Amino acid sequence: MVCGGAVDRILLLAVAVSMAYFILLSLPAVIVFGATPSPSFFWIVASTATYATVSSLIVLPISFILGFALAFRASGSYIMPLILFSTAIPHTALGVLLAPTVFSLKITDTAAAVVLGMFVVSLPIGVGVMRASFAAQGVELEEFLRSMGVRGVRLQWFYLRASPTSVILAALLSWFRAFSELGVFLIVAQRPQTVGIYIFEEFLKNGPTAVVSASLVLLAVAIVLTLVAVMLERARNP
Amino acid sequence: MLEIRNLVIVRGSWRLEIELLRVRSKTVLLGRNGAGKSTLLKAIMGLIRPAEGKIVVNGRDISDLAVEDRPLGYIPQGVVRLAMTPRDQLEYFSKLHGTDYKPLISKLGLEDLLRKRNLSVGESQLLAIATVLLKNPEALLMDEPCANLDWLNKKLVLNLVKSLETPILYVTHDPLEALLIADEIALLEDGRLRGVYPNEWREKVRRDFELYDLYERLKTR
Repeated sequence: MVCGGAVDRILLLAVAVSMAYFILLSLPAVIVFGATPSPSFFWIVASTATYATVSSLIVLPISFILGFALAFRASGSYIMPLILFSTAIPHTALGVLLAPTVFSLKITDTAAAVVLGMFVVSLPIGVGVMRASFAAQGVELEEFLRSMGVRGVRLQWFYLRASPTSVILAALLSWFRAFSELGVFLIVAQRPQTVGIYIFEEFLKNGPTAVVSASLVLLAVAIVLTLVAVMLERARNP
Repeated sequence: MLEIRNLVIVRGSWRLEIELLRVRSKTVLLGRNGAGKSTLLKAIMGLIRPAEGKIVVNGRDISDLAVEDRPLGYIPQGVVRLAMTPRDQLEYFSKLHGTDYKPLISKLGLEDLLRKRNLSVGESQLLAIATVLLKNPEALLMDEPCANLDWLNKKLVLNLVKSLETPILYVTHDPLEALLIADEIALLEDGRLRGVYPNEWREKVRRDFELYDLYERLKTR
């Protein structure tokens, strides 16, 4: 929270606003439905986080390579929408599009289907963040390095060194996108249970009271992760 | 010597045509915004593929060589900063090209850069030029290296450029820069080379340049 020797006031303000926002969102649900914690929920959070981590570990290197390839080529502007399309349609529809692959691989309702679903929904986030980060560094850097005889993996290594916060940001955002997925799993992987599926099913079975505490935990996690993302962004562009 | 022969670059309805341009020492490519100066430099470096034409360096046709293999140094427009200390940067490129940065840095009088971690814009440009020289390029291409630099930084960069012995094709839109460093001035207009002229005014402009240096003159009053 220290920026240039002084306390980062904008970050402090962001924390205060986030806490107020959390209270504002959570209070009505707690007052109306109450909050009863479920012992199985934390186990499901842990397993969902594990799947999201596996997915992000696959997403990250692919995002790096694709983001780099698309950042400085005119064709990048045409190819990006093909990658981003999955963010623009309901994820249940994405699940339907993914279903033939999952069915043919006979991985329906398996951990593999969960990771595949997470991969498909979080890849566009990773690629988008990496591409934007590379593009912001300018084509001049690439031109200079190539003219100096730097090529291939070495070239990407220079960009990696120049943008560590972007890599962390891409990992963070793609992880949380994977963690919070529901729509795809409703179609291809309702088991093993993930957080989204758990809340959906508990709500249908036992009503809102059963899932208020779970939702609040997720909200808190999301706010903390968003604050970390803001800190990283400010570190990158102070 | 760097030679550009019958070069044609086509971008939609816009064309750049250079029948012959020879760079023997310091040639300044002077032209207004949009004249095609940067495009020409990128084509010589291999960053843009021309429709036709040849790039010849010291008698060797390098037109088909990849960017990474061309024996040229290139300073792009804007200041390039790598995420490493100046010393690490020089050491890295020294190793890559099998050269030693210490004599070069000493020759250029840039020892101070080695002791720093964060460089000003002008210092970064000096470091970029020193880095390019580690490649032992047979010719240098410089795309407005003084753009965005303040007067004092501009002076540092121009003095360094003046001291180099490698043939240089130096792009600028600034006539004063052109007059200060050029042996020859090539005028580019609307994608056409209007002519290459000897710089008859260089010594006079260099003398007058001190008159413009208010920072120094006012300090000594």
